[in-house]
Amino acid sequence: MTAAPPTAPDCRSGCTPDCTSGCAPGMNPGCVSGQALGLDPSASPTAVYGALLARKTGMLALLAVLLVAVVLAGLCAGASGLSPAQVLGGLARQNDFAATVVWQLRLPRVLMAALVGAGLAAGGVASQAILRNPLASPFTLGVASGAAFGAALVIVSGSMSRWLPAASAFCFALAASFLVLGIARIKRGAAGGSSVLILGGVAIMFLFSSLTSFIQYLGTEHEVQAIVFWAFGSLSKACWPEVAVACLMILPPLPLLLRVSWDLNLLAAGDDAARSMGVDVARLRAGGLVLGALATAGAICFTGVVGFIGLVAPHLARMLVGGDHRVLLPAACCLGAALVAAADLVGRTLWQPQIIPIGIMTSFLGVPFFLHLLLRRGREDW
Amino acid sequence: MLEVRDLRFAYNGADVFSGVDFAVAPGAVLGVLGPNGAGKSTLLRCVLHLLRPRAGEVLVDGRASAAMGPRERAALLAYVPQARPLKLPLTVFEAVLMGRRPHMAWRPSAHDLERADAAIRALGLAALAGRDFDALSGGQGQKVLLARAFAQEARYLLLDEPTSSLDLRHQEEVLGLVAETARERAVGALVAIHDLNAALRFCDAVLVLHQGGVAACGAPDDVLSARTVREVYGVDVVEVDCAGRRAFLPAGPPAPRAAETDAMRGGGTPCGNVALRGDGADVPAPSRDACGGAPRDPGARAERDRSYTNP
Repeated sequence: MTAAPPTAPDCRSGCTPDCTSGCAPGMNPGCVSGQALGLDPSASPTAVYGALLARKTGMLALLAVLLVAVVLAGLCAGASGLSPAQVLGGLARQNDFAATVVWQLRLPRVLMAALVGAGLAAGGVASQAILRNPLASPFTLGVASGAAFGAALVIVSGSMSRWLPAASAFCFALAASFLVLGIARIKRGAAGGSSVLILGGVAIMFLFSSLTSFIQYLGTEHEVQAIVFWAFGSLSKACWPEVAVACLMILPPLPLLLRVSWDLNLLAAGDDAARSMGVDVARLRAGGLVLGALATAGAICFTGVVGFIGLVAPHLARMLVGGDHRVLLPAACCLGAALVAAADLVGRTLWQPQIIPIGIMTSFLGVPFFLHLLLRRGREDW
Repeated sequence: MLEVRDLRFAYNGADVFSGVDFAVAPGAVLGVLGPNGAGKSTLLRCVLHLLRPRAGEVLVDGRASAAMGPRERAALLAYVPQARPLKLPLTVFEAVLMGRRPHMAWRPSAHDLERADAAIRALGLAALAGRDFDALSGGQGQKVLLARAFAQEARYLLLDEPTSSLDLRHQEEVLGLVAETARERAVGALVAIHDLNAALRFCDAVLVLHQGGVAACGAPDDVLSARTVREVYGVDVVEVDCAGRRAFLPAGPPAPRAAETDAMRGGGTPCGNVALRGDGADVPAPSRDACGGAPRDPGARAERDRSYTNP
């Protein structure tokens, strides 16, 4: 605190020998770190941080560009055989074939894919932060099984409504996460520790899964097929009204989560440490859980269970931009959106005119990418 | 002044301690001693309001800590827990910058960055600023957490065994820095510590927790004697006096825990030609009065330090 004069050589107190040399073993060659930037080891800490932040922001911009590129590619690909020039022309016009294809079929679908990816990624970032567990995703907290049960319930009721399955899926997804939160409240009073949330989440997940299985057991063959198909995840029902409603559910939690990004950072240091630095941990946990569940439920209620993105997009983003939630959250959203849009693009073009459901494609596409980064990195998880 | 009045805490109905009274003045270092399980960490966590005491109160600069909001309390009390976080996916600078949370908006100001920078330099971590926290050694990580607490610029530092994973040199540096910071910035420090000899040298006062209460409290030289150590830790020690600097050395196997008898305790065995003193009976029993935690006369300490380095 009463530091050496600003120009004094650093490491005056003799750090361990490896501190001035190169990378520690297990340092990720691609990650954002001082060594990777090739900074002068005598650079001031603030300068090092500034350079890191600049690089992270650059990476974030790159991810945004990637997202735009994937969305454009998604617009250009499809069964009707339009050329990219015709597609771009169709975007500007109305009332011709290209315009109809682009505006009524491709754009809502691609936007829905991007929205779903962003919502799942945001839910994943929030759950991993508040549960302080790299294996967590909103699905760990029972959100997906709640949604699947909600949809199954409406499907067996024989309703032909356009909105009812989504509304029911949304409500049950939120109900599942509130149940988990309630369990944690009972167990630990106001504090609600992370292990209680995880175990409660797993219990609720199995509860809703078995309820869904029970419905399938009772249902007709046709109903069972519909339930299973819903669980695959599909973008085929995405039209403008659905996109608009999904926007309203997925986007509002994002700035709210971004606003507490310092608190989410602090939570990684431990509950006690976070509280001692002024964070209301119980409130942050409950709020983060609800916001994450909202974004996730908004994402999956129209499309069905799109797995893997909620777990993997935060990890990929963390590998690329580090763990500061101020950058991590937008980066994960861009990556998740780009991943789902890309998975849909591949799913639509691989077997034309057959469309592989998005829930299947995300894992096909995401796993190799994820494993590549995982194996290239020295460290274990995050 | 950080004042603790008649504090009592119980886990599941069993008292951990009760009737704990002490005060830490700005500029003073108060060491909290006591065997494992005596409640040192619990006491620190009660003061921070991380645990709710059963009775008693904690006053920070005259105001009840319990009545403060978390952010307000964080601007006054900085804490370094005993356990290092298992995973902290941040760089060293980011980890230290977190300590600015009570003062900081979403975007750190130039002042926030400057404080984090100064704290990193003060702990000799500048070359590690861009490193991932998870890639650090145990000792480096502990220094990062200390730097975070320094960057918080609180009026009081609460450190739970801040040197537990540091080697001798880093222990000296870190405790020296804590004492220096306390003196020069008028920061009060409450430090749970196991090393009696470090407590003798770096603390202005010590508080000994034992068997659910304060066994002794006062200036280290008055409170810590072979007799106190034997009573509290159940270990016979000899007290070594070397050029005006005292230290304790274990003088035999620890006494059996349960049925401790006088015969088993034996006496300290003199070793070599080192002057021994205070082997029990001639030392007055530790008092619970005079538990002020005010800064010692820095001149006297400096004088003694000189005599130590150059006997």
